[in-house]
Amino acid sequence: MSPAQEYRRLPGRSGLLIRHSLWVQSDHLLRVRSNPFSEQYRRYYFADIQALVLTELPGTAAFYWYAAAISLAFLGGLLVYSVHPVWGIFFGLVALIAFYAGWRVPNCSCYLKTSVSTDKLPAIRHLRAARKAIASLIVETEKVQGTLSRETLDAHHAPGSTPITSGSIRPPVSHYGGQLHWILFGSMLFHASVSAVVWITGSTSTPVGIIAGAASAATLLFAILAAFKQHRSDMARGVRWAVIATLVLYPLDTIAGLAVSMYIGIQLASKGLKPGNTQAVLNHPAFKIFRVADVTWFLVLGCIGLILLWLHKRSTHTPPPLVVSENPGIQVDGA
Amino acid sequence: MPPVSETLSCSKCGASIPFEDWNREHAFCALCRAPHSTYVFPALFSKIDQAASAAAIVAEGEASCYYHPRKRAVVPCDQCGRFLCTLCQVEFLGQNWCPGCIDAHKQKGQLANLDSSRPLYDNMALVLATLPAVLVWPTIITAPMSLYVAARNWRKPSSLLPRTKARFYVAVLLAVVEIVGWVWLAAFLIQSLISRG
Repeated sequence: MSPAQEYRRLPGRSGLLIRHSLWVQSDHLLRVRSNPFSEQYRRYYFADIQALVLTELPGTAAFYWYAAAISLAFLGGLLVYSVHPVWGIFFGLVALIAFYAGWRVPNCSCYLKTSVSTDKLPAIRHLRAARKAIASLIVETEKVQGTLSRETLDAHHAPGSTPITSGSIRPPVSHYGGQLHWILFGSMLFHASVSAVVWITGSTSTPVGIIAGAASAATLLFAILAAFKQHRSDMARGVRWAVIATLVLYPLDTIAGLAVSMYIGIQLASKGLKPGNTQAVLNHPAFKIFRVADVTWFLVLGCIGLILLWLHKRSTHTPPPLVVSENPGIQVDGA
Repeated sequence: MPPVSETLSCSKCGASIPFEDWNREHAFCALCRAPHSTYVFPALFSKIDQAASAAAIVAEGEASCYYHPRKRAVVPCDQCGRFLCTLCQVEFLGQNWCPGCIDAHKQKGQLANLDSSRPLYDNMALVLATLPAVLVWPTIITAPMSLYVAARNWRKPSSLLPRTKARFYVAVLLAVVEIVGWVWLAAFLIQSLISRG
């Protein structure tokens, strides 16, 4: 029996308690899933590997974590500056955790196909490590199977001869008129208008506050609904991005509002004023800056969204079919 | 050449990846627009002979398979020497094996290449020696347990991956320190009780 060769580690690892990693020997890839007390193995022989697919994933979640980390770090800095070092350190530590969570969010996904299985490689979660690991896997697999040139690949693919299998049918892309998107961008403009009125007039009345809050909540609700609705629809890419940008900016705006409120509260308290003093809060420069930014992004994104939606509507609009009847006296359906 | 009947799909949305994007880096999914790279290998086009069957004995005096007496033997098992037909012949670790030898070696734990899981006794011993130490008093039980786990499994095969026995050494060291501490405490208490009495 030949002596067992040592495994060589591939870049990429995931998990804290349940960990995934990839190792290679001369003839196979070993996928390891380990917990603190045991390891489970799955082998893929290089002779059997048919394909590797690496897909980049959107880093939206990481962006949220980083934004939260920056906001918390900023808040921690403010607290340390305003002689609350304990809370400042606490928020700093939470910011570090948020930063780590953002760093751990996967930005790619990889699966390996053999003739009998298609398995995800959970250890491959980050592009940089993924590219190194896949480069190594390609070299090892080609050592066993040889290389596949473009010409050979083309020779296997006779145009029009690919049989239709369930896997080759693309999921249907449905037409969507964008009603929710109209409401979303409209509510954003409405929210911006109400906020602008409150800002300019300095109004602190309860009904106006309720209307502004309702418009803000409606924006979030319709943004979520629109994001679901536009999935696998023929909605224009620009409109999709406007919805995604709304979903990204909304929590950032909320976090920024919270941070500014806490900052102002701390400043007012240090000056001996009550933090609930509405006029003092409204007149604070930090609040004014926040208000301008808030109104601006709602207004700009709402306008951009509406324009893009209008352009999309115009480009997808198909005129009703022209019905030509030889006998003008006969009514034709749909005419 | 046979046309390709295999499909590859985007791991984000499940849409099939068009043939033109195979072996191309930085292509985009037609449906979700996710950037992807697809690498295909010659095995994608090789046909598995699902209807493979061993040849039957046609002439008198031909060797037959140990497991299938009516099938013609093509190779002997490199472990036990039994004759094997193409159905029973298993190429493994560069040799020809029969199913019986593979099974027997696997039962004895002699084929690391067939193991699908391995317990990590060194980690168990280390956890028994360290975590309970936070509460101190459980170590009166867990320290001997850690020593037992280490001693019993010292020579058992551990992970398939490169790994030293450092965890075992640390676990044994900590367990011994904890046991010595308890013994010292017990001796101290007995001593103080005797001196009072």
